[in-house]
Amino acid sequence: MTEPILTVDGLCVDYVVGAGRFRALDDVSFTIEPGRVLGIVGETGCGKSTLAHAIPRLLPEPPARVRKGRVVFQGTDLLPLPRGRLPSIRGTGIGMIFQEPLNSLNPSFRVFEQLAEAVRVRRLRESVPGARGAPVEPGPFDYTRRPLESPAEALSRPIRPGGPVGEALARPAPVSREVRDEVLEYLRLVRINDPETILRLYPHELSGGMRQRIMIAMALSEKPALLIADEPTSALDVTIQAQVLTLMKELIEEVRASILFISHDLGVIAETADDLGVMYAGHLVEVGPVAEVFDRPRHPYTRALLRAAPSRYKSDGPLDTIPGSVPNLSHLPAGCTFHPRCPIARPVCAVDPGPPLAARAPSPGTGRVHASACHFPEEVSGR
Amino acid sequence: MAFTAPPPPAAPLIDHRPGARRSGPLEPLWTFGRVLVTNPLSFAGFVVVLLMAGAAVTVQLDPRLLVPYGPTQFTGAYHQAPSLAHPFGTDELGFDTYSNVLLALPTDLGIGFAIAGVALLVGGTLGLIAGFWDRPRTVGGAVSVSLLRLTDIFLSFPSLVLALAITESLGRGVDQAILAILATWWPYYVRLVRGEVLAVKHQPYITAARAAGVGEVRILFRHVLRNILDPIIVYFTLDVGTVLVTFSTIAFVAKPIVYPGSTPEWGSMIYFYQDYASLYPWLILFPGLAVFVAVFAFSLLGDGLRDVLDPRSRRAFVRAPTVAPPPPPVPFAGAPSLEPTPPEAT
Amino acid sequence: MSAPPLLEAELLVKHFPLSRSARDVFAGRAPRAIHAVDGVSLTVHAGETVGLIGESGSGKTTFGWLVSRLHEATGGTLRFDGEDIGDLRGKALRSWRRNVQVVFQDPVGSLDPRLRVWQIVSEPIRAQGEVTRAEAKERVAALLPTVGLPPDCLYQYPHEFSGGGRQRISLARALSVDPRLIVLDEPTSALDVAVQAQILNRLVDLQRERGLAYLLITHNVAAVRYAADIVAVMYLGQLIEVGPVRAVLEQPVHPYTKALLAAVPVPDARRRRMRYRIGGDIPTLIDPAPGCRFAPRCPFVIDRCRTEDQALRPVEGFPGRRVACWRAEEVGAIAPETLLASGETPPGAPVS
Repeated sequence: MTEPILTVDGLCVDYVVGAGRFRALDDVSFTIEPGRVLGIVGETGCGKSTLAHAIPRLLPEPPARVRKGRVVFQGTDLLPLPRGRLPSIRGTGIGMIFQEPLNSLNPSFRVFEQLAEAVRVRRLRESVPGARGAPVEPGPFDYTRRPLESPAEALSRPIRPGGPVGEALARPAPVSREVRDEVLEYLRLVRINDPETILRLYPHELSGGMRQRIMIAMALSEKPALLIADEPTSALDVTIQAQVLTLMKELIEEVRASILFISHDLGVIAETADDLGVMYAGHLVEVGPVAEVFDRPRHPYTRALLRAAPSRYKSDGPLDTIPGSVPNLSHLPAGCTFHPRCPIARPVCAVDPGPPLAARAPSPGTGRVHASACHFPEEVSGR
Repeated sequence: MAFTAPPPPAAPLIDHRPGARRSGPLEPLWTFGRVLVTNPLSFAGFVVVLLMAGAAVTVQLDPRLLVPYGPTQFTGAYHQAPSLAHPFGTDELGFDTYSNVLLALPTDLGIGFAIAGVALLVGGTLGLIAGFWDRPRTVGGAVSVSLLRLTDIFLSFPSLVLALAITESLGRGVDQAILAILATWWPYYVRLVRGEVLAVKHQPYITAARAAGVGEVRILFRHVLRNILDPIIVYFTLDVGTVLVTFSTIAFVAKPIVYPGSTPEWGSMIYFYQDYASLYPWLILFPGLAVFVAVFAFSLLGDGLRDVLDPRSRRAFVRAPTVAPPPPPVPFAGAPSLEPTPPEAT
Repeated sequence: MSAPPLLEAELLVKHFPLSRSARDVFAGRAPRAIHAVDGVSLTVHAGETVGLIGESGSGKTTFGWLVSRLHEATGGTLRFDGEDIGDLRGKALRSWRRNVQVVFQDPVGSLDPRLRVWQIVSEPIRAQGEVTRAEAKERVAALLPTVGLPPDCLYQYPHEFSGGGRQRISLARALSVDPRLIVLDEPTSALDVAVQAQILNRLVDLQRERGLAYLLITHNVAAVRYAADIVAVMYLGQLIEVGPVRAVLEQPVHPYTKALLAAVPVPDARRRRMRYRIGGDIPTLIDPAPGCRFAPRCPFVIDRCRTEDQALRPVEGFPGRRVACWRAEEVGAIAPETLLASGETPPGAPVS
């Protein structure tokens, strides 16, 4: 079996607000293997977004606090790392795509400047020996080998206060042909037909779908081994969402990155993911290959969630719902967090939180692990 | 081997997530108390404002309870440094500074409240109108635009200079000084209130009220006014301090109040004693300190009020959510069975 | 049906004029306008649900506001119960509002944060007539259980409720004056699936009990499928297809309807495949060009589409259906499954 790209092991994250303490993530464990797409679904407030931000350590601390656990990315545990080393990891290893691209792009820079910066930073990092995944030979971005100015250029340049800082501020950073070419290449990669025009626009001049493509291009330009997509299409219209999803599926084939794909929409997950994890009240309650989880859910919450998606007409009778409500994260029920709403709950469920996910053996059918945190997974599938 | 599913808990209605809280009729008071406890500076501001207000009322009703000497009562000691008998010292006329600082309290506080209050009433009303009926090419729109241009004219002068100029032209006197400050003060409230109205007016709940058939005037008072009140109260509290400083400044520069006289005032005291500052510093130290403490207390109180009234920051002070504790473990009937359960009833 | 329809919109138009820049004035350009709703005719009969579906910018919300008289129409007529209501003003308009109530999309913003539940819910009653506070409270308390709220939450504030709870308060407010039509503007888009199912069930139950008519405005195909009887598809300010819900969703005729339905992700891991996709972005609504609005993105476009507008017309072989497409008969016959990706997705792309 191949070495996983990412291993999350027993991750617990709390939010401490005033005197209250909310368990946003409780003992979450999973792995992502190279080239696979892990989808995470759950309702509002189940902790899926916290998970997306906790892995690259983007959570604001405080109020968030990582209580325990390990996040092993390509063999390195990220949690004990000093903050100073984080940018290099985020940049070279983990790319992020967020829900609202307008907020994630800097409104005062053109598309080109944003993309060029990402490309340039990556090249700079690659040129530093010893950085992760760095080539041994010096990269093309080398300050010592800046081309000499021609006399005409030097004369036409406006005179600014001297000194290295003043000069660096006054003159725009040189944009090499290569950076520009690479930016164009990434724009073509995300199927933008007319990249030369798009380069000159500001984020607010783009449509939502276009912005999300730019975000994807930016994330990919870092050449990440792992992409974390947090509701990447939830703000888009259906036909645009379909375009972006198609694009992402094709890119998965092309760039061979592993993806952690977070969404509240079971349909979107069904379309993109290889494996599926279901979250409820800060717990990962079920993980398995996506087709298996959809066909034979082994946790009652998964089954209830699948059934609640309205796919019938009025004359077919009322929709299935889940009784009760999502519990308060500061007063989680003892035992299994789902037991007060669960139709197959037994006394043991109110006491014992259920088997840990990692302890389950691979399912005989596919050889892949299909684990559930339910005490009675065999009873769930009975429709 | 019957297995009974636990009864479904109550409908999913009350928010159980972070930040949710329960309310009662006294809820704002409780929050206020909690904010004061967690924020000692606001608490101090609150206490000082209460003390000053109490002292001002007492002095107004019966000065002898707090003040040992009258405003122009001879104490028999000149230029005395602060002592037990004369906590703030005495001046070259033999008047007690402590008594005068305290006797100035009702004047200064009253003027601060009165000017800010009248400015709030006048400017606020105009701002409400200008903000709510501002659609172009209507009567309201025309009124709104001309009102705003008028405030622009006022706001384009530095208000202190304008107030001084008005005071000088109206002639010396407390009433004139108050009028002068008022004339420069109300436009700020027009701007403030109009801005708040514009922000609230396009909220969906205003449209919802309109769709429910609520009349415009009722929408203005019931929905708009109620929702803009909080920032305005905060601004007003902070503003009382600012008015106080401005009035003291005008009293210092334009001398509308004769000191020593029957109604002492902090700014005019400082003006009167300024020549002795190096020799007898307590004479201007204590009136100056009075202004400083008053302004500081009001601004601390204003900051505390902002925390109480703004629901966003209010959440931070809420104790652990006060919603119902988790239900006790559900009693189960029957022994665990290994049979598949019947499909859930919905 | 012989009785006049409950609501009848005829060629309703709403343009939002754009302010002219100084440059436009000097260049002598005519003022431009956003054509949010451009000639929409739709009827709602008593007791039925019409689902109005479309993407953002299609003008569906503007249409809902026109129908509930929150916007003034630029043109067209609006009849309620056979009477022209387009020029009701002031008091007459306010008292007409008891017939049509609105539930808004934003469950947070549409409830005044300073009012308690009973005040919010009783707002339409109190606006309609002289009701004492005690009476209003009584009626609210009786109303709350019908939307699934406990009657003892009268004195709570909206922020104490979850999204589903707030939307129930909104619904109770709309129901309080016994309206005959409720305009539901994206009532479930801000909610999770499980909560959405609860609200949709409640809406359908209420309709059966009270004979309400709904105009359900949403981008959510699943919600329309479950709650609507008639579905109307809107694109860039115009209706492009109207028909019975089951027929339209199973056999869409208009190319846009086909694309829209194909784009909805299905929660079924076995049905992953490359489906019919349309390329391009949703164009602007500022002074649109003549011809079919969908022509720039349409894979079936012919020259006629670019020059001539087609109004909604019945299509042979599709009873009860009206479609705005010149090639409706040809296109309607194509099963959506056989359509492959067009536009930017290369044909023959990998089928996963």
